[in-house]
Amino acid sequence: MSTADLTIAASTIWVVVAAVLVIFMQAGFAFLEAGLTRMKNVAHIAAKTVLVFGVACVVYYVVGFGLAFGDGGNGLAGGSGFAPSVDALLAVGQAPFSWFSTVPASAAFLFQVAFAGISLAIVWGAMAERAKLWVYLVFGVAFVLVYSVVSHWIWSPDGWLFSLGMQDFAGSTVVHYQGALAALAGAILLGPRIGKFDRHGKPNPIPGHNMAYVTLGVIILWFGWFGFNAGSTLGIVSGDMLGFFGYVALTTNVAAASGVLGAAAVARVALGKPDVSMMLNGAVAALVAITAACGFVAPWAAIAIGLVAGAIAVLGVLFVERVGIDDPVGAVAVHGLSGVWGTLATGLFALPSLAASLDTGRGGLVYTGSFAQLGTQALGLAAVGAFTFSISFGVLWALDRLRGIRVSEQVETLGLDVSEHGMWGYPEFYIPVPGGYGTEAHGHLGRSHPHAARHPAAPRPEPVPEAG
Amino acid sequence: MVKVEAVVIRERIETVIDAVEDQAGHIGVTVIEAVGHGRQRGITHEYRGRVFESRFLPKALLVFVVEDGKADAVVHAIADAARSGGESGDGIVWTTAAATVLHSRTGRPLEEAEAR
Repeated sequence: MSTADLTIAASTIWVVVAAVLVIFMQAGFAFLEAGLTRMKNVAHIAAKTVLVFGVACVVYYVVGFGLAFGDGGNGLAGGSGFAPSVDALLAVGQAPFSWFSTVPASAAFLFQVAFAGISLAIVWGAMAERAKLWVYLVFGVAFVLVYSVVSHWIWSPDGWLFSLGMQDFAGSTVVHYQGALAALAGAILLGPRIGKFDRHGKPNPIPGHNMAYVTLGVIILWFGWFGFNAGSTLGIVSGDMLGFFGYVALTTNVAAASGVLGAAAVARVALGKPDVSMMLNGAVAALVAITAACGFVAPWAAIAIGLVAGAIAVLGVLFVERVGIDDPVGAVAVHGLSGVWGTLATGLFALPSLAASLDTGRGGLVYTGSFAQLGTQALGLAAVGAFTFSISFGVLWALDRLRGIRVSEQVETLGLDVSEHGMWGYPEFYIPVPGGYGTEAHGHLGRSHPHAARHPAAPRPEPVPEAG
Repeated sequence: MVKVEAVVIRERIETVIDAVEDQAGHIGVTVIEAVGHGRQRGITHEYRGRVFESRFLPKALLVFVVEDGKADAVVHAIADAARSGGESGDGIVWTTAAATVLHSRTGRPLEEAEAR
C-alpha cells in the first residue's frame, strides 16, 4: 500500500472510532435527562432517546446526508447523494461525496449521522415530561432536515457560511445551538409543567430524581465528546499538521474541566451552595462552548471559554426560568446560550496560525484586532437562529393545532411511564412484583448464617431437618 | 379531639394541606405514602405485551389531629381541595374520635398552633 492508502486506512480507523464515541453520547443524554426529571417519567425519558436516534439515522440516510454534503448543490443545500448506493459509500473523495477526501463516504456518513442524532437529542430535554410520544417521531423527521440544511451552510465547501469563513469546528452552532433553538420553540409552545410556576408566576423547583444518573450522564458525554470534537478532524492529517486530533482533545478536556470549576464557583456565589446539577451542567456547557473553538484556540483560551461557559450554565438556567420558560434539563441555557458563547468566543480567540492551517476563516479579535471573524460568527448565529427557530416553531405550532403536542393533565399527573407505556419505570415502588421489593420471605436464613448468629434473641421457627 | 384522615392523590398533597391551613386554620399534618384503589379498581399495566391489572395506585394518607370545633371545617376543606374533576380516584376523608392527645415535648394536652 502506498503512504496515501495507509493514511486513508488510519484516518478511517479514527473516524469510525470517533463516530462510535459520539453515538455513545446518546447514553449520556439518556442518563442526564432521566436523572434531571421525575421518577414517574424515567423509562419514557430514557427510552425515547433511543427511539428518536432511530428516526435520525433513517432520515439522515435517505435525505439528510445528501442535503448536507452531496455534490452539485448550491450555497443553501446539497444536491445529490440521497439514499446513497454501495458504490457511493465505498468511494473515497468521489462524487457524490467528493468533499470527504480522507475517509470513505461510509465512515463520513457514520460520523455525520451521529451528530444529527445528538442535535435531535438536545431538543427533547426542554420538552421533557409533557410532550406526546408521536410528536418526537414527526418533529424528529422535520428537525433532521433542518439540521442537514444548516450543516450544509457551515460545513460543506458549497455552503454560504463556509464560503464566508465561519469557524465552527465541531458544531457549537450546527449541533448545539440548533438543538437548543428547537428546544426553546418546544418549551414555549408546550408551556410549563403542572406546578412549575405558582399562580403568581413564582417558579417552584421540581428536583430531578437521581443526581448520580446525571453525573454518569455527564461523564459519558465528556467521554463521547473526544469523538465529537477530536473526530471532527475527519482524519489523522489536518492541513500541514499530523495527529492534530490529539490537540483538539486537549483543548476539549481542559475546557470541560474549567466549566465545572466555573459553574461551582458561580453557583456558590449566586445560590449560596455549589448546586450539584449546576456543577454538572457547567461541564456540559463548557463542552458545548469549546466545540466551535477546539481546533482554533490556545489552551489558555480554552480555559477561559470553559470558565465563562460554566457561569453561563448557572445564570442561564436561572434566566430561562425567570422569563417563565420551563426547561427541565436546562437545554436552552447549556446548549443554546453556551453554544452562542462558544461560537462568538472562536471569533475572539482563534489563533491566526491554526485558522491558516485549517484554511477556515482568520485569526480572532484578540490576535488581529479585527472584528471580521467575530462578525462572521455573529452573522452565522443570526442566520441559523432565524432559520431554525422559525421553522421549528412553525412545525411544532402546526402539529399542536393539528392534534395537540401536549399530553392531557391526567396523563401528565400520573406520569408518562404508566400512561404512555403502561408500566412504571420503577415498578416495585408502586406495585407488588413477584419476588420484588417488599415481598421478601423473612426467616429464611439458616442458623449457620452470620446474620442469624448475630441476633440470637430473634425468635425463629425450628429448622426443618434436611431430607435424606 | 378528632383524628381526620384522608386518602388523596399524591399531586394534591400540598393543595390539601394548604387548604386546611387557610380555610380551617389548623396547622400540622402527617403524610404517609400509600397505594390502593377505590371504585376504579386500580389500573391496567402492560409489560412485554402482557396485560395485567394492578390494584395499586399511588396515593397519600394524610392524618390531622384537630380540635373538635375545627373538625367539620377541616373535613370540608380537604374534600374541596382534593377534588380533581376526574371520574374517580380523588379518595375519601373520614374522622374518628381521638381520646388522649399529648404533646410529647411537654406531656400536656394538645394545643392548636396559631394560624398565620
